[in-house]
Amino acid sequence: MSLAGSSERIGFLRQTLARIEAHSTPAAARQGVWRSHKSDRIALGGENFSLDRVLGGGLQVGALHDIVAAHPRDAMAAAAFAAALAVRFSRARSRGAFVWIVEDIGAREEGLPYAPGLRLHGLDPARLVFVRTTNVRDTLWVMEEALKCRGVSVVLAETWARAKDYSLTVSRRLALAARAGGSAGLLRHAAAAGEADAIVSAAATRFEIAARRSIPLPAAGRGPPLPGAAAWGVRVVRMRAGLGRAVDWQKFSNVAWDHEETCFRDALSLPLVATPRNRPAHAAQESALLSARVFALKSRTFSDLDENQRRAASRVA
Amino acid sequence: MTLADARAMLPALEVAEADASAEAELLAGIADWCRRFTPLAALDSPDGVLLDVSGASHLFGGERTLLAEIVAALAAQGFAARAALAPNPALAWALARFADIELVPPDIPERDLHKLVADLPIAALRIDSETTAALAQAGLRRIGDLLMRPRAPIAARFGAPIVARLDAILGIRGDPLSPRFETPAYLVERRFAEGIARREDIEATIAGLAHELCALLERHGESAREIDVSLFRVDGVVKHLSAGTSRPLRDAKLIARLFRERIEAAGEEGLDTGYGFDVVRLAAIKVERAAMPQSTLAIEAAVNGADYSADLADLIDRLGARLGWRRVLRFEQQETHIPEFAVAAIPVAQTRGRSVAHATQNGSTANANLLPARPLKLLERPEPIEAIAAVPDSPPAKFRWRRVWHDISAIEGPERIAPEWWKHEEAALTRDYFRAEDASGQRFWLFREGLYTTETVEPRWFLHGLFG
Repeated sequence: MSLAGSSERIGFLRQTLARIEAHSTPAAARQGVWRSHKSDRIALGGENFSLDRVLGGGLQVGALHDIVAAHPRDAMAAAAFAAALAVRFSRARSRGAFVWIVEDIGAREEGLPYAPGLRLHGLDPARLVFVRTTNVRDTLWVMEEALKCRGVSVVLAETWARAKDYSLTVSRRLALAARAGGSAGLLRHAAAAGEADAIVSAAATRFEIAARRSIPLPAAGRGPPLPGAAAWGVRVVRMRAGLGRAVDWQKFSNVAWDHEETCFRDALSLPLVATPRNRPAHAAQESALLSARVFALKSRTFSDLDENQRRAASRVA
Repeated sequence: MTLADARAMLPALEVAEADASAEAELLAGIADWCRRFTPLAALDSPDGVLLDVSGASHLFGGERTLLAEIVAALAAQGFAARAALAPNPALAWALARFADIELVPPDIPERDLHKLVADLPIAALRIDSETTAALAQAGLRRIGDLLMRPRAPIAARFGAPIVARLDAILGIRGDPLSPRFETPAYLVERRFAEGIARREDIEATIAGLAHELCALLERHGESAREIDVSLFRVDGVVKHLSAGTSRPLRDAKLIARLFRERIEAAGEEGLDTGYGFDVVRLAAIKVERAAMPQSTLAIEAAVNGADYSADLADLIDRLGARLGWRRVLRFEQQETHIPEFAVAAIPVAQTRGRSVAHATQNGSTANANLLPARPLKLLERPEPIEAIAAVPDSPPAKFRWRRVWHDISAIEGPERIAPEWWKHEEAALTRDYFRAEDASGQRFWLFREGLYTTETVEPRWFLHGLFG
């Protein structure tokens, strides 16, 4: 056989392989839908959102993502972050159910999802299908079945699985199910707070979440300030499909959730210590800092601020 | 005779206390088992079962064979039974207890029927003992005596029910029996010479029966909403598995898959095959006219123009079959402002047809700033906390929840939610809700219950929900 002929055959074989890999499910092959290797990504924030840049454009849709709290007291922050992600995925597809799975242990520890609160997060509770399970095995089964269903756009499961119940095999099954069904899977490990680095998983992304104080809004009168928009510290622990640029795996970036636009925003500086209150001498300076920070929250990037505001915002309380 | 007399006659008498409820349960179990012959089985307390076998006797090789089979099978289970078959229930009841005749053919001429009935004692009419005694005093001991006499004086002297019973036993009046279970709309079954015990065999049988049932449904243009599988064990126990669907179903594969999930959920102990099942019956209990295939769920799952709402409904059916119907829920707004009841979690099966949309179409939360703050997660029951506030009316400065102190750094409130005075007779307490954030960034939904001085001396604090 001539050299040219063999290279043609190799090229043909490569194409066939690519086609087989792209047709990840027989259903897709039947429909003649070509799937690209890189599945769609959903941007989490507006333009130039820092986390989007780190993640390479956003979070993948047909994939599994792990979410872990940094400390047991950050459990609710992780839950809210996961819910915000789910809202993002749910909004990206105009139809498609949002399946939320809660175990009975979770219901006792943290409570059940509350529909008016979800509406505040930006989700229409009519699209929610809420499933209660008794144990981890059922949770994983429900998650796999829901991910495979094409009528579901995102599945959020809160599992109290211990490390021995969650392994590479389990996560790979879930990831494959997500890819086959074209839905996003979010798995929050409620019992593994602080063990983000120790989890072994085949998920596309893994986040570690810490609770952060929100940027407070000034209160009328002399009392304590009003709490502001929900804010969290997010660390990307693991990410497949590396970018080729250095990612700081230890850095927490502060984000806030804008429920009007249902997107994340960079929160450039969040107060780390309680601002002194009831002290008139600091009042003027305090309000300047406060307005600078609020402005920082609303603007897209640091560079949007003018010089004075930048100086004000960079001063730490 | 009393127990003392009986013991006097026979000192070695064995005595056991009658357990009425256990006997009733046993009778119910026998009636369930008898449903293998016909679905119309009724209890005839305290010691009988009535079966309506019209049209079913040919399946068992004739009426006499059917009777013999029933008696033999019950004897094999350890019960001594007498069976009788007659054109009407009252006559069958009477024959089984008071006569030796087993079978009365349906086309019996009236004269013979009268002669038969005339020989039965008055007790065969199922009237109470006082009336029987009164009739005996009047010299009427057999039904024939009653038949000979004019009815009006008998009814006047002994009560109208006697006449009704006479009519019933002669078959003049209908006497419908009320079966224990709802008669299914459609029924297919398979009988085995030997019991099947392996799970794969049971699932394969159900799959085959599902095909037959769907063919039957198609012929009549209907679809099933509730399907029931009855498994009759060889030793008399009956197992039921039922599955409901959120939309009318006529697809054999989906039905078979639903029951596969149910069997898996039941597990080995739940199914308890024993020596095997020798009758497997698939019944469609509730059916509906098959409309155009459209989803009754308010969620429309369409991606890229294709409609996946059928897939979603199928997923929900399978989840419900595996986990139980109460565990697959949707949220529905209720007509109340009390937070814990404002939204109810309803099983998806019960929301069919009802729209549960809350907000606008595409879920935008316009004017979300005007919405009161509501937590992401609500505790099932508000948990009491210790809160320290400067004055009883003011927001708290710190509180202790689950043994951890939290210093509050930002707080919003109060939002006053008064109780529904039109519902409660005794005074319920007003709640002042606060959204609090502590120094580490956790956010809580607290409330103080009871207005200071007007409702209670010492208001109590609770934590109701968590924001993220």
